[in-house]
Amino acid sequence: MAEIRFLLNGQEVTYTGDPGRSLLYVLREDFDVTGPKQACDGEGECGACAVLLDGEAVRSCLIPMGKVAGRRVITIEGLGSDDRLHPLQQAFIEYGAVQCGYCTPGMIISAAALLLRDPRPSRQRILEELGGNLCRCTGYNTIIAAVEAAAAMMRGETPPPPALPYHADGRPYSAPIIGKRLTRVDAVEKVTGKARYAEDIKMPGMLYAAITRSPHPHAKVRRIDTTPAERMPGVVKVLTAQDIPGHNDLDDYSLDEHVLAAPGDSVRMIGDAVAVVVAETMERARAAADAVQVEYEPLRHTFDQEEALSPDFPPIHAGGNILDTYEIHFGELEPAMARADLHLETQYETVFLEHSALERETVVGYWDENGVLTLIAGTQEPHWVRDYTAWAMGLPPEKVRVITPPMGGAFGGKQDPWPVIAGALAAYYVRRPVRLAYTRHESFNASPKRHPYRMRYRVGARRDGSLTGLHLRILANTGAYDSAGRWIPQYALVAGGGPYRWEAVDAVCHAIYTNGPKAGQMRGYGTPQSMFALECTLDELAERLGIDPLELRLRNALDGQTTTFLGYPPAETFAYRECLESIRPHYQAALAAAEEYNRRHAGTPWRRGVGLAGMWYRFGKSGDPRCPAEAELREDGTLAFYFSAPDYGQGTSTVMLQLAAETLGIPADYLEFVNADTGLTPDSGIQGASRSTYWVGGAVHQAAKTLREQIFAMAAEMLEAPPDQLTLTPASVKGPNGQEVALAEIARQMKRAGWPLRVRGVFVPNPTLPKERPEYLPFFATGVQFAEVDVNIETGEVKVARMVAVHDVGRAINPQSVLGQIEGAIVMGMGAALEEEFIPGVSTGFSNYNLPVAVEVPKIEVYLVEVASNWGPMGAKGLGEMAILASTPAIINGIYRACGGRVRRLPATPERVRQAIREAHKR
Amino acid sequence: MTSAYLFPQTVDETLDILRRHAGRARIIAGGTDLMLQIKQGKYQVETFVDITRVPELNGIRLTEDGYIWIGAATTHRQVWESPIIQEHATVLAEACRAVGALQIQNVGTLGGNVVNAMPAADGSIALTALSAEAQVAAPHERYWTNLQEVFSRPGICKIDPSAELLVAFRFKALGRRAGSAFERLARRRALSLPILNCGVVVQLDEAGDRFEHAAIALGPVAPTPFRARGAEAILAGAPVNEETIRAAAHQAMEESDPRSNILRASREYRKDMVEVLTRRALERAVQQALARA
Repeated sequence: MAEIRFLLNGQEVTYTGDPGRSLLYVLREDFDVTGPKQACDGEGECGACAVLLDGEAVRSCLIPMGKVAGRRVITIEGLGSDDRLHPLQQAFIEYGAVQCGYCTPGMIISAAALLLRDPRPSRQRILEELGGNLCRCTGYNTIIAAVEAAAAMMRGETPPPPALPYHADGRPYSAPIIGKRLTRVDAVEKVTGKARYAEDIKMPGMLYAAITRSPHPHAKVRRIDTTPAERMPGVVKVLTAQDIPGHNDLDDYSLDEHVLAAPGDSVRMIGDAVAVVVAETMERARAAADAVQVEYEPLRHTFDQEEALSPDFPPIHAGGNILDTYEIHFGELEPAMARADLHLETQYETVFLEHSALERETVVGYWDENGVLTLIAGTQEPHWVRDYTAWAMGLPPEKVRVITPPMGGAFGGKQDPWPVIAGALAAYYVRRPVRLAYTRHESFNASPKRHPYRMRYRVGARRDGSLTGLHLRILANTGAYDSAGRWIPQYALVAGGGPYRWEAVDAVCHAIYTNGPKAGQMRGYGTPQSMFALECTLDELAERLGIDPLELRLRNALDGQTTTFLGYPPAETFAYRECLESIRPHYQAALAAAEEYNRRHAGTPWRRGVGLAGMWYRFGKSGDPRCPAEAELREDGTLAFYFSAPDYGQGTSTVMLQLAAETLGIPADYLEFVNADTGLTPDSGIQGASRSTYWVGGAVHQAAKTLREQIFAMAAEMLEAPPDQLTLTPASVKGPNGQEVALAEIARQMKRAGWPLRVRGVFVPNPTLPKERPEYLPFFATGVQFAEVDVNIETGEVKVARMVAVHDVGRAINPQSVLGQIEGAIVMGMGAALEEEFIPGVSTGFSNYNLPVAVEVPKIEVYLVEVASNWGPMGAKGLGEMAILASTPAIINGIYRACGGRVRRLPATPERVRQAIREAHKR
Repeated sequence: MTSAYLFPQTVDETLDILRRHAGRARIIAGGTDLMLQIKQGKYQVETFVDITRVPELNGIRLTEDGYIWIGAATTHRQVWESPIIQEHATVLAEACRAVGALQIQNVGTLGGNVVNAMPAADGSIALTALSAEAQVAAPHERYWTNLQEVFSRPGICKIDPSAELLVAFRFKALGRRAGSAFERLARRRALSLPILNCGVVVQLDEAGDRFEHAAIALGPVAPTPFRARGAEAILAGAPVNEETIRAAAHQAMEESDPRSNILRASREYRKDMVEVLTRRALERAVQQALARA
């Protein structure tokens, strides 16, 4: 024990305890200063915990308390306040640098240290200073722009305006802003460190949970002995499968997955769960989880989908190793192939990818005063997770409540209900609040991954470039469990054929069980892998035919009327051709610039290539297309909206308020909202499939319309004026002759009259859609990108210099957020192209899973083809997932165009690129 | 659970504390590796002995006899920001600037980089190229030793952490007709351990026509930071031209013995890259030497 005095945000404080504790731990646990985040989990690999120590940025997770004695510590909380934001905080808000907000405190602190030393930092200095801070949402460019802007403001200069997308014709974006709001509704609390994410929430008497997990990829559980753990000090409860009060499964979320493996059952992946331990402290919980004695009988395992299919490999699940299969048969393949002048066969392969949201899986669970089991957790589907939790706990759904706090990123990784169910189980018995927070290593092992694919293409084309036949076979590695992997083959094949006219398609995809991590949902849901392979195959085809890659795509691009190989035409607007036409001038200029670059660099090992790739993505889910949201005139006269569109950084809350404000005709700042709390908001479905703005936004729009009508109906009586001559203000309704009645007064009158103060709006995309419609609505967003890629032909190093993206996303509701989504997706796609690879049993965290860093990020230009949707709110379509589909193949094609090396297995590491160059030279 | 965190003021006091705790105390400098190792359960520390406030262990000096002296507790950032290092030991400035991230460089020390004994530690590779010596304070003596003698095997250093202390480094300042450079290749362009790194130092003759001598350090191509002596021998006395450099780089490849690592690269690729990186580093070092007439 030691007594350590230091200055914390200007206050003299004393810490009494272990001097070997990290500063981060003490700030968060002893002083409740939770602005500094732990994302990499104490490895010094992310920078989210940065604080100023005597004015210098340090990683507080690596600083023992002993070093802090007598020194000055400034955290994000000490940098500025709500009413007096530091210029960096201001700039981060205005320049769209805040998405999920988890990296934000560390970014701002690091930038603050830089500006203390250097008030006029070069871009290079900013990149160096922030180079070790990871961000998974933004793609970094907005962050760098915000730092430059803040530096300018602090020097008394006027910075350039925040970046926005361009219109397709090149005009900068300056359209009127819907709802008169551009900046995020939650940005102030995120830049000041006030936002309380799940791990920042403390409750009186809180206990801690930890999970006993399998070290084996495949083993039979013989025996579980919990007594050594139960005997340890501070241990409150050790729970195994037999303690699960309801069902030991995930219902229809994951058809074959247990919550905990029972004796006699098998563990099928590293990190599979066996027991949940609850203890007085986190360390004790983790130590006790390690002390649970599990006797395993190791079984033969494989991480490889082809090995799992081989006849001698034993079944991983009782029904065999094929989870599901999907087939598309359109037209007659062999006659179509016979009409081709050229046949091309290709093979491509992708690997497991980890979402790497900076916030780890974290759940706080407790019984509330009404006996409702309440879970505060980042999730993308609160209502569904509530139902899965109720199922496992044997409770009626109304006895479970799921509340989403601010979320530190998701990208599909927070669809999985497993962590919430485990947190619920921990809280179920102990009757005290419990926090379950995964370690990063645990998150790597046990959270769902992107499915690795092996893809074999055979395509036919005529000499003029028109496509005839597509034969496609995909083996998708779904890992140990379903985890919503059973629809993956469907999505794989839709993307695998792309936005092109095929005369015939014969496509089959199997999802295969292995002992890899359970693969689940991740941005693009099964589509980026096959889009990558298709767009690379088309690039190869273009070269074989001697046709420009852009012209090849134009020759075959679908329009909005033609029946697709899925058997039906698109039902929403469809602007792929417009995207291709719009990118042409930029693409041609880039080709010319690349030639010039290569002339100038002839004496160096660097070569530049321009790679092009298109995409389409079917947004929205199967099932009932209706979606509800609610609007309320509260008794005090405030207007509030209730919806479930979990905001994990994409900005859905802001977009919903913009749509509500635009519909009501008053500024968004006056509106209140509750988002994604099953106790308070209607079930607007899941946050995935890029459906929120379109569906939930449509519902909010409807709810606002209905509420406005109600208010005007009552106000018309009160003001004795026709409803169509009334105007709504933030606090009142005004009549045509200057008469006015306060909203609070209207609310009282409505209540007296027995009218509901809260109304429901239900969005239905197209009331005329036939009953015999396809299982998934044929709504597509499309786009095309090119990448200017520099390759070092000696080492195989790759730098992406610039990317241009043209997307058809309907109308942009919030152009700054559109830019943020597209830039973030492009950089995520770059990570998949060049450096990200999860290796089961080897990858442990951010120290060996390479997320893109700021210095690697290309210049990005985004152009929007704004063809308004037919039914979406204000003409919007889906957006969040799109851009990643085109960026990976554009980069891989760019590598080829630069050096002649065709990379067929991702990621394109320097070694693989160099290998591809060698093979090209052998031919 | 740590019971004490001590800040000795002198080297002797540090040694005294170590002796009194008889193996239960551990030296901490920046702590950027140690904190992680403790978290991973590699060590349990009862008493931390923080040496960062010992004046004798801090600072960078150019001595009268033409040596550069660096205290072991000097941070990476202090090293690369030092005009002395930038001018007279460019290879070390470039190496320290490549370590982890700036926030690590603000805290992590050059001595810590060395005693962790990783075969591709950027600081160790640069110091190895500079033929640096390390000063060690043992209970009854202080001695200078060739830096390469300090490394035992990956992660293991010969300096006894419970009884001895690394005090400082020294090496010849590079002057007229001398040059140095550091090259590095990684799976990611920042915040990444190297696939390979290479530090070189060259001394040309007065006219700049011939190599007088050269040093080439490589990692990780052996269990400890590796000197490519065969390649150095090719350079010694040879004319300064592309052919010589290519021959030396090829020889460096021949004598390197890297291992395959699933997270970074294969042995074959690493061997090939030894040749590329060595050539690049030599070319840049020669340029610097020629510019310093």
